[in-house]
Parts: sequence; structure tokens; C-alpha cells
Amino acid sequence: MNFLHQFASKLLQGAIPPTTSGGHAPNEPSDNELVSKAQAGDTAAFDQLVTRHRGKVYAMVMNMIHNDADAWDLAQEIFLKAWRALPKFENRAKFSTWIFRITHNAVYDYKRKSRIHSDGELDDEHLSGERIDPGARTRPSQYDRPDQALEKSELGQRINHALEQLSTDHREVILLREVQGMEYKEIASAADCSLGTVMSRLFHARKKLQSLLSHEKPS
Amino acid sequence: MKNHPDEILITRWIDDDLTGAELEQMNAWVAEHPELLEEKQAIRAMQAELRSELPRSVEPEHPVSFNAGILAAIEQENLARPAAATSTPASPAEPEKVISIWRYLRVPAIAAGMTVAFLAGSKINQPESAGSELADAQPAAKAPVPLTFYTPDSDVAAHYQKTKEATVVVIDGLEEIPRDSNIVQYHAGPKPDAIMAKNSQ
Repeated sequence: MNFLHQFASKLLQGAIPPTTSGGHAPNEPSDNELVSKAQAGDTAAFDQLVTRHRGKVYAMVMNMIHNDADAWDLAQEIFLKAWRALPKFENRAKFSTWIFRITHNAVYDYKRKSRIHSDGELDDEHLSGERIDPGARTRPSQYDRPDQALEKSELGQRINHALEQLSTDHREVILLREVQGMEYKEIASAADCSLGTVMSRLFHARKKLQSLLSHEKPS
Repeated sequence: MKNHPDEILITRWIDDDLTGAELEQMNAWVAEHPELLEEKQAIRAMQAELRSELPRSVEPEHPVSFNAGILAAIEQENLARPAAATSTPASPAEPEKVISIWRYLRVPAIAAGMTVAFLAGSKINQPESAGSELADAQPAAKAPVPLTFYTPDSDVAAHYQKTKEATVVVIDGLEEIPRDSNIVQYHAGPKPDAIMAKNSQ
């Protein structure tokens, strides 16, 4: 059974392209080509799109909601929504911007539901890892792997703590601009707001984040 | 520039997005207010820290399961939809041509349906006997059932991925079989050769 397990693992790893930051090799089909195939019902093409973009979507969701277990499910839900909405996607636009728009909607829905269930205040109990069935096979462990825990530097912890204190709108625009490197127009499209609003939010978010980080600095 | 630049202009200036006349005007303002340069440098330093500490892309744990879960959900949705629309995401309604044909076939179709239902009901009540033609008949085609997993042991997890050639199921968490084990020893009962020799007697 061991060699079968190893063989199957190697087969699957071989079928999945190496981790990228969303780009693709020149000989690989473009996002638009894959989208066209997926729109015709080709789930293998959609699977490639998922593989290509899941890293960025998962990173964005994690940074927005700070809950590893829910982030996994939410990221899957985002791609499922993308599949359902594919007929409406105009293939002239960038798929990555479009998937971030779906991410925006999903994250805001998630936060709204969290607020409703906690009667206006964010109830940490709902986000507690202890409520998750440890035997649930669809969810990864909510505990950091030892190597992950070590990797989180002090600066990283301060930044994450500061980001948590920003409003959802400000946090989103900071992550889309400073981390994802998106242009203003792309951010406006993803966040469903005007260019002016993007730049105004960015202005205030940067100021607020600067202030928070300077207060968090160890003496 | 006589008036204080607005936040949009400052944001664009910090991001080096200004050109031409706007850039000249902003530079003139900064020359009179050098503290803005310090602000810009501070924000640039913060941007560098954000990029270094917050990864742009994070692969979800168990990426194969991640994709497999999405594809399984898509397949379930396809199965739940009417047969005519299963291969694509939600597609528009069928053309009206079928309706006019149905108008003429309605009465004969109802009569045929009643006959089939009567025959099916009478067949269901007949017990099947071993060796009958029914027992030798091909099994009725069944609707595909979504692949699901059950493991009584919470330490064991399973996931699958479909490729063009096959569906590969991966099971994690099983105990390793020692390499020096003789697999044949795990078989219960007599060896196949012994069974064949017995049947031929």
C-alpha cells in the first residue's frame, strides 16, 4: 500500500504545476484561454485556474479575516462562486481582478454574518478554533505548524495586530495595494468603488496604519 | 501651487504616479513644505515592511484537497441540474420547438405511459428466481453517485482528484506496512489454485 500511496502522491503532484505567485510559464495557456474553456464546461481548465490563483485568494482572505480554518472554507466558496458566475464574466477583463471582486463580496458577507450572529460585536467565541471538530477532514489544523510559528517575526505580529485595528475598507485597500500590488483601477474594480474613493481610503489607511505601528513599536 | 494638495494628489505623489504639470506643481509645494518628503519616506519604509512580512500568496494547507473539494462541489451541482444543462455552468432554457411536437403526441404518450406503469407494477410483484433471464440481464444503468468518503478513524483522511485517465484516491494516515511483510499471509482461506482444483473434480 505504501508504494501505491507514494505513486499516487507523485502523480498528483506532477499534475499540479509548481507554486507560483499567479503568473504562468510562457508555454502555458493564459487565464483568458482557460476561462474560455471553463465557460464551455471544461472543469480541468477551471482546476488550472484555481491552482494558479488560490495562493493569492487564500492570502487575501487570511489577512482579511484572521481565521485559518474559516479562510480555507471561504476561499473554496469563492472559487465555487466564480464557477457559477463564469457565464457572466467578460473575458476581456483580467480574471485576477474579477476573482478579487468575488473575494471582496465573500469577505464582506462573512463579516456581516459574524456581526449579526454576535449582535453587533465581534464574538471571538465564534472564531475560536475549539469549536472546530478536530476530526473534520475538510479543514486543516487551526494550530500553527512549529515552523510557521517560528517564522512569524515580531514585526509581522505587530503589523498583523495593527491591520486588525483598521476598518475593513482600509484593511482591504492596504492589502490590495501594498501587498497584492494592484493598480488603482484594479482596486476600484475589486472593491466596487470609484478611483477617488480608492485613493482617499489609501491616504487615510496609510496614516492610520503608520500611527498604529509607531505606537506598537517596542521602546 | 497655492492651495494645499488634496489627499488624492498626495497619494499619487507618494506612489510616483504624477507626471507633467501635476508633478511640477507638487514638487513646488514640497519645496516649501519639506516635511512632506519625510512623510513620503516613512510611508515607503512602511510599504517595504508590509511587503516583507505579508506574503502575496499563501498556498492553502492540503492544496490537492482544496481543489478536489471545489471540483466535487461542482460535480454535485451538475448532477443536481437537469440532464440537458449538466456540462456547462447554468445555461439558458431549451427552445420552444419541443412544445409544438408534444401537442400532437400527448394522448398517445399518456396511454403508453399508463401501459408501461401497469407492466412495471406487475413485474415488481413477481419474485425473481435464480437462473431466470432477469438474473442474467445487464444491471440497469444507475445515476452516477458523488464520491464520498467515510473513515471511522479520525486520524485517517482521504481525498481524490480526477484526471482524464483516472480518478486517484489518496489516503493519508494509514499505518505503514513493513517492507519485509509477506502480503500473501494476510489472505484468508485457501489459495486460488486449491479452489480451482476442487471445482474441477
